[in-house]
Amino acid sequence: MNDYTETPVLFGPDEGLFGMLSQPQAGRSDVACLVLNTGVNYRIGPHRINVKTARRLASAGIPTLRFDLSGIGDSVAAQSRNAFRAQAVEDMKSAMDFLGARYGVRRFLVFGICSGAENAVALALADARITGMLAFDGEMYLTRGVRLERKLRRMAAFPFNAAVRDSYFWWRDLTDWLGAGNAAARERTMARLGALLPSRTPPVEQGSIFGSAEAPVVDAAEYERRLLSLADRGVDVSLMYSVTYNATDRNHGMLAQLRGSRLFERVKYRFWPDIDHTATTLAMQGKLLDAVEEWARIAAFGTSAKQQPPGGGRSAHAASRRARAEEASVNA
Amino acid sequence: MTPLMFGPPSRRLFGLFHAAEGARASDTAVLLCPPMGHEALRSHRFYRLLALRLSRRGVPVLRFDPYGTGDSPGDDEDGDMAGWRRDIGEAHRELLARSGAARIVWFGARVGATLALQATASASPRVARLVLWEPVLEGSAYLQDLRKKHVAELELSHSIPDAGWRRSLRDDPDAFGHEAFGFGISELLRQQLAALTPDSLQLGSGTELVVIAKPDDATTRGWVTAQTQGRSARHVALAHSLIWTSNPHPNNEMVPAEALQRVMAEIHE
Repeated sequence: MNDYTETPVLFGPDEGLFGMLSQPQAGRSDVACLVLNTGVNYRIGPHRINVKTARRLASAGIPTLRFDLSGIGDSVAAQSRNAFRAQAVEDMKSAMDFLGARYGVRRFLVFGICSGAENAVALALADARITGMLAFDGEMYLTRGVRLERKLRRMAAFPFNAAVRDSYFWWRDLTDWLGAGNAAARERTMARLGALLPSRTPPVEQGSIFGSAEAPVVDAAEYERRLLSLADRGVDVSLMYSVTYNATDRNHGMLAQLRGSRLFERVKYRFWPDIDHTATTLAMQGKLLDAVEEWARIAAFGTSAKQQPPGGGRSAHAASRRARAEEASVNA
Repeated sequence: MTPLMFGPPSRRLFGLFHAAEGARASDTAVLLCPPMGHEALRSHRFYRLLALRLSRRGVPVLRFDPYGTGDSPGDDEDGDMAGWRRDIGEAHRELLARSGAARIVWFGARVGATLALQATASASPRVARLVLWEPVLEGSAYLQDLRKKHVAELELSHSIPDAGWRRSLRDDPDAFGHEAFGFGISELLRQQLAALTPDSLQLGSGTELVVIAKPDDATTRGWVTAQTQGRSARHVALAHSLIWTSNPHPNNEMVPAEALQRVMAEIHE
């Protein structure tokens, strides 16, 4: 017998947004969690991680809504002319409005992976109902030093690790040309060699999780200011990073441009050497689920203990703030 | 689109019913059977658009998630072929009750197609037409392919992948056998999948069979030929750009137009 229930819900303008609400079997709560889309994966999340997360949190006493943003999964495309991020924020607010009106929820946590992490930050900034935010593999602010170190590590592994070699398109084309006589691979290889000539424009430095040249939305200083504003507001901010971009992490390397910032005294930062971008194995999922549940319990109830303390509302929120202050000092 | 939970209390299933739109209501209703694991996630958009387009043509459609998959109750490891076949039967009855249609067509892709094929014999009333897209006919090859692609996915998602993964894949036949792309596979399901062979899969009488497969898939073409003995079975060659095991990146289409059109046509023309 499960200690949660699951209900499909339609909400938002013209009930165009669709989600699944996981609720604790017993009792009501004034706090709930939103679990966001990752890229264009629909509401179950990559590897069904959103389903597993929602069930864990509901079992922990936190109603959790995993839903599709406009135009993703089974939610209809918005009729507005909003840009993607602005529409995402509107949709997330609609989710909170729905839970507030239907179930009396007043405080919200939000958890997102990758693009979901960026949406989570945007929502926390835009809406004071958010009191906890966990961004997994969100924005990165790397330095040249971190990128260089990453390249050196991969170069060191190159001769001994076929998977590292195969991750380079140029290597695959080179071996396809020389090994199998592939004409297209030869053409691509020659084009790359031509691009190395000094007159050519150097390639843009790569920095995102999958090595694309996409730049963060704001610069590091603005990102720091925004996250500090959340901390000042009492939001439990947790930033987690996977092993996908870099194999190791030293001194807040994924936010290396902000090293030395007082931000790290105010928010939680954690690098996971054993979890990749979307927790591809069941073992990774187990670790991530434990971490998300612990974060959510602290953000919601002020304690990571398995039993929810009696009473909710203001006293629990105050305890939550105390626990966050203690955790931040431990992490610092 | 009406979301619903149906089935017995001990095994509730999640579904989305798309009622026929407009006045051109058809006497046919369509049940869509999804693939398993990552392939179901990857093809979700395809199934949604297929359902929307059919319903706009006046054809009611039921999409659903078998137990332990998608939005349905249950964990990954709760899924098995026999249970999923019963789930298809349950969805069949739900579709009949909701649509009132006189004629039911089933569509399935990959393992969803295989399950639909197996479940047809026990469907009542009988299934008028069965449209299968790249059914899994050789279970051991399918499992082996999942293992390889699972490791490839792991390598893609690590800055410096573990060199031992490839060795394990090559040397240990049990390595990476109980999960694929982050979806758990129970030992029972693994055994059931491994037992799938073309000879073990036979269409009963009374149902029209349409099988859509890649032009170079000789196994499926040969299997369809074998099914034509005394039955109505047809092979449709379809090349397309959907990579079942890819992530939704720009390197391949979410919903290839030619595939959607072809599947639509085979279901309802």
